[in-house]
Amino acid sequence: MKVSIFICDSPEAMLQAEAELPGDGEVLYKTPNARSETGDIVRYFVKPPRSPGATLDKFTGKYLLIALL
Amino acid sequence: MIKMILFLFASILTLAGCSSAIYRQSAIQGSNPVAISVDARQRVLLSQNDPTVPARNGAHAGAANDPTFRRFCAEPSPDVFTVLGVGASGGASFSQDTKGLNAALQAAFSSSETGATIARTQTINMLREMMFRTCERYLSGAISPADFSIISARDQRVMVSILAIEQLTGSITPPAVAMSANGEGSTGMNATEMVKLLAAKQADLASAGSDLDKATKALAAADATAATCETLSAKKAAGTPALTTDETAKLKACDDGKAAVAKATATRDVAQAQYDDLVAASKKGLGIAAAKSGGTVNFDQSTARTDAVIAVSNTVENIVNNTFRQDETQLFCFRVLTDPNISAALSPIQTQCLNYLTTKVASDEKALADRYGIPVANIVFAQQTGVTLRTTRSVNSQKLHACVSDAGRATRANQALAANAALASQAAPFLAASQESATAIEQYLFGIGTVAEYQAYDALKSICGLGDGS
Repeated sequence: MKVSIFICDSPEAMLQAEAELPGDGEVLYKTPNARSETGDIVRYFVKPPRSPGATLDKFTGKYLLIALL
Repeated sequence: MIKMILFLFASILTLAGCSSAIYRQSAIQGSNPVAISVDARQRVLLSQNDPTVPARNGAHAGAANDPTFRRFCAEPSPDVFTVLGVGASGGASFSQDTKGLNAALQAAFSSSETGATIARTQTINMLREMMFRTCERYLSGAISPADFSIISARDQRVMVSILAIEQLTGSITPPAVAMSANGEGSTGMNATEMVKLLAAKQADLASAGSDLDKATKALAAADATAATCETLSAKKAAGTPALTTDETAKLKACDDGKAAVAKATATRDVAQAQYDDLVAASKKGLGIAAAKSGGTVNFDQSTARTDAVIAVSNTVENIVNNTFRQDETQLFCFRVLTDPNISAALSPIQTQCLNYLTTKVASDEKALADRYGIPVANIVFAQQTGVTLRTTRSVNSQKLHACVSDAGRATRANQALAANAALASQAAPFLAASQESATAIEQYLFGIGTVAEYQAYDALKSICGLGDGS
């Protein structure tokens, strides 16, 4: 089981990614409407030294799809 | 003799260890339907072969009519649970003396059984019963699989509505009743605890009242006749003549006294409300469930609830409205198109139903497109592309997993991936996932993005016989 995060450039790309989900995949979140999103991605390290890690990646004007595979 | 005594002792221990647990199975004649009742205390599991699925040939001798699968209905667990406690201790000592064998055997047994009702709201009780009855009707063939799905959907709607109403009105939960083997029973909070709590709250109320009296007297003292608080406040507001040092001190005493009275009044009001709540609760016999689980008593009728209900009610109303917007025609059409008996009788309606559902799908696509501000065609294309890619990926993943199990082809696949600049860095994890399982490589391909995925298909097309979905 893993969580995949898709940061898509357009609603079409996000909807395509959703349609691509395997049969047992589950959408946890997707950008709900035409308003794109902006924010930070916190990169989590499962292994030591600690979780979450400090690395931040920004995204601007994107459409998000978070799925459980 | 000793052996006999030990045998009896062991037998008693064994019996004590499984005392009075009940399990019965009743085979009903016919296609081997089964009713099973299990303990705690007598919950019924009903089972029946699915008559719509042909029996398969048995995997073992004499099982030619094994059902392919069964339908099951489990009665909701009873409202009373029991805790069976059995304790046994035994000891034996042996000594050989001049008078012969002396054996002493001591044994002690204890057995107790306690039970308590499980506090459930009316909603929970009704839903448990309702869903079990639906299952019963399905099991006995009164409703079809299509009906079952539709009724389940309706049940969900009813569930949301009733829960919402319960939230609005405040749930009415019957007080739990505890029972013990010696016949004692109790309902509601322990009387002693209730009295203690009442006494404590009464003391709090008296203390708050006393504090308020003191604050009121202090304010009255500050509000001297010669220069009342009101006079001093007006003089300060006017600015001229300025307050003297003595007057400033008096005015401060006035302000402090007013603040103290306000604070003491608020404290007294809270204490009064808590005391009133407690008195009201004591008359209803509330408290046992909360007292056992959390050590506190929750009073649903607290003064803050009115505002909370108002705030929640609007949200709940929206939920109920949305729930009742469920499309009954859609459910009817689903039934017409899937239930062979109904579709035979209502075949003229099938076309209308197909049109209705097609229109509904188009309508949903339009709504989705409007929400994202893109044309419907783009939505359809994106979804079709996604489905195609998923199908291709699924097929190719099976092929990749089989392909890399051959060492020679795995080496060639590695070389082909390494030769592609965009895929070179992913060659190792790609092959590792392929070797692990079809599911693993499917997930891996899903994660690397469409462009890289198609490049991988091209690179391994001839080696592993992959299709590209075109």
